[in-house]
Amino acid sequence: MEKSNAAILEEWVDAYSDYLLNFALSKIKDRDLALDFLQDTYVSALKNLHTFQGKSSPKTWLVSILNRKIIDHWRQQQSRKTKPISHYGSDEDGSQDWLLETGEKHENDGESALIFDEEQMLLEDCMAKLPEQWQGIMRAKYFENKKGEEISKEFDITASNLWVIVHRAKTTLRECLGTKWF
Amino acid sequence: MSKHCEEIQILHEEQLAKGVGFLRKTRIRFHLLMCKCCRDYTSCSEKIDRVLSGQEKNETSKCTEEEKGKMKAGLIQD
Repeated sequence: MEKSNAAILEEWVDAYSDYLLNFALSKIKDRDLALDFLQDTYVSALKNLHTFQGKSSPKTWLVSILNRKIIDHWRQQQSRKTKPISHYGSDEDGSQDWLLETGEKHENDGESALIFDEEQMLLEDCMAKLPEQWQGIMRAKYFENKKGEEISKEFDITASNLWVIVHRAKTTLRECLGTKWF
Repeated sequence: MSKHCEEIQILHEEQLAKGVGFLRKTRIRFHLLMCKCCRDYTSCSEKIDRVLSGQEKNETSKCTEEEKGKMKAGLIQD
């Protein structure tokens, strides 16, 4: 009998939560917030399970959902911080007043609790610009902690070619990051 | 970048991931002593490694059974 989607997700909760929590905590410092992101990630995964084709591992797929949620959240925080105060009072009926309230609240929370690792975000953005195969290799190496032999087998490349690709990927990342980092 | 530099940088990647033998290690070190371009590359490469592996400031955390239970309950509600 086929497993229900919820049963599959429950298995994933057991299998990947520790890894995902550590991934989230590498970007944000608040454990409760990280757990909220995990919960959101699993709910999104459940809703979109039909789109998961199994080309990547469930862990990679979940990491990409989680990462996107954290980046979206962080960008939202940044845009709230940079909007002028007049922006919030611009609607006549005051229906957007809550934005000011939540914006302020999050901004305060942000300083104490949400310290987003900007370096990691920049790096993620640059990673997204790499050729697909290189991205897969880098994700397998760093996010899935796979060994060289495993990655070579998975991507059907020789061991020496693997190190050439890692080198080229890092050189490209370095160029993309430019002076933002170094 | 010279072909030799490229070769050393690729060797460095191999060394970072799984280690290399004494002779290769010495070759890398000797080259790095003389070549600023490769020194810059290796320090950048090591930093990318640290950030991608989340080692910069991350400590290992585990979800408690209670937390996992809450997440599962959230799935059923949805």
